[in-house]
Amino acid sequence: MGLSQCNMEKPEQDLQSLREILFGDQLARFDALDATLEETKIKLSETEIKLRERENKLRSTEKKLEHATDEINRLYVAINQQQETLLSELNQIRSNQIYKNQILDIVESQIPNLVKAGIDDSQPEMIDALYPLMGKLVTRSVTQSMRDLARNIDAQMRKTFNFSSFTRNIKARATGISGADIALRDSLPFGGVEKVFLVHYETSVLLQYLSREVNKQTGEEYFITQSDDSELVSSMLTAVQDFVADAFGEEGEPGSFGDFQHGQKQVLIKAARLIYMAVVIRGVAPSDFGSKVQDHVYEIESQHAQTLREFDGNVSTLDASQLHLQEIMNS
Amino acid sequence: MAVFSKKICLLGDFSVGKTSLVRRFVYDRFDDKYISTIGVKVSRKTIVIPYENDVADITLMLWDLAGSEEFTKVRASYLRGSAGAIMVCDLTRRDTLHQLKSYAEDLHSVSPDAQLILAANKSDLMSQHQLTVDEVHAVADSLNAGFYLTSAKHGDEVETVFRQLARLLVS
Repeated sequence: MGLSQCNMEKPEQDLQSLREILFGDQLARFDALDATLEETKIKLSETEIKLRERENKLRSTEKKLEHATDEINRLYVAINQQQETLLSELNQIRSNQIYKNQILDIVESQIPNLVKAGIDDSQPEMIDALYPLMGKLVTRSVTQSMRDLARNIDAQMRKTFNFSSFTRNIKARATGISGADIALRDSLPFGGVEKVFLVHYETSVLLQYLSREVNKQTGEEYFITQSDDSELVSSMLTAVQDFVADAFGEEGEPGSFGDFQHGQKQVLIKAARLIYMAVVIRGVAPSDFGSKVQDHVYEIESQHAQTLREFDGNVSTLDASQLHLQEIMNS
Repeated sequence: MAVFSKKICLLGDFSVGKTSLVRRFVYDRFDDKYISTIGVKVSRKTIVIPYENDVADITLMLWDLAGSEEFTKVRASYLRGSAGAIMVCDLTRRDTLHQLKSYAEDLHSVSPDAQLILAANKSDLMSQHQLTVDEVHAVADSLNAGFYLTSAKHGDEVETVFRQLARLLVS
């Protein structure tokens, strides 16, 4: 340190001493205030910093709140729109239901007329469907009545005792057939089915044929489904039926040619609406044989109704009905 | 091979040759007396004809109806279900041709879809002919039918009539 420097430092020291003499206490207080002020400035600065941080946080929160508010508004709008859509659909459903109820009311009121018109328009189909059923119902009713009659006769026969009735009763109990039936059959034996013709009534075409033949040399039985005469016989039989109906029937009276007999042979004619069956038997058929044949005829017509109604001459379309003829032949 | 069975009627006045036409060319089982007793006799003729790129076996059940008016009442029954008819006239009797129209009407009243073919018979009796080919042609056209000049006595065109009708029935 030089002389100039020593010279500058002395007035400073004198000034400082003067300050201490004049403002001694106040300087201390001033220093203390200054320190306090500095502290306060620091604190204020820190507080400012904190405030800024909080302000930033607040702004961030405000933005988030804004976003949330926007989202809520958007959802609110969407919900309103959905509600409107649902209300609209609900109204539509209500109006549809009202419309449907109106339609149902109208349809219900027209159903009887529609059913009647439907039956009128499709009478052949209705008749084809109902005819076999009605036929079976009638046949069963008649069969039941016949059984009741046979039972009564049987009961009467039991009252009188003789040897033949005694053996007949034994036979009846063993076979389960009523004594009256056995008595009748004993006097009128059934020789079996010889021929079966299934004929299309409208065209008289022979649909199916089955005949029991016997080999003259060996005596062996065999069956044939075609012969030179079968078609002619069925056509002539149809012509004869038409002749009898026209000669002896009444106008508009429904009816079919009944059974007829020639010598030892009997010809059963069982008819449905579109077909008939002629069964040639030898002897007298059992009491329920005719109804069985009738059932087969109804069954065939039911199974092949449309084919028979629209028959074009192609007899092979009825080949499946040959099974019915075989069952009749074997009964 | 397809198999068909069709009902055919022979229509025409008495003695035009209906029975003669069938007698030579069909399988016969019953006596002709049935024609006069019950008004009809049925015969059978089986033909093989071309059908759908193959052949078909067609059996014609021939209902020979009495030409007399005695059986008018049953005629509708006998005509029922007919697939076709051979209308027969006699070339030596003029009135037998024009009567065919009423027979056709009777037939179509019960079998509206029946096919017709006209057989102008007794072509062999040329000196006695009262009808010309043009006249027969005109009536055939009015009935929408083909026609053939036949002779049951000699067999001319008889087989052709059956064969042509059979083709019409399955076409």
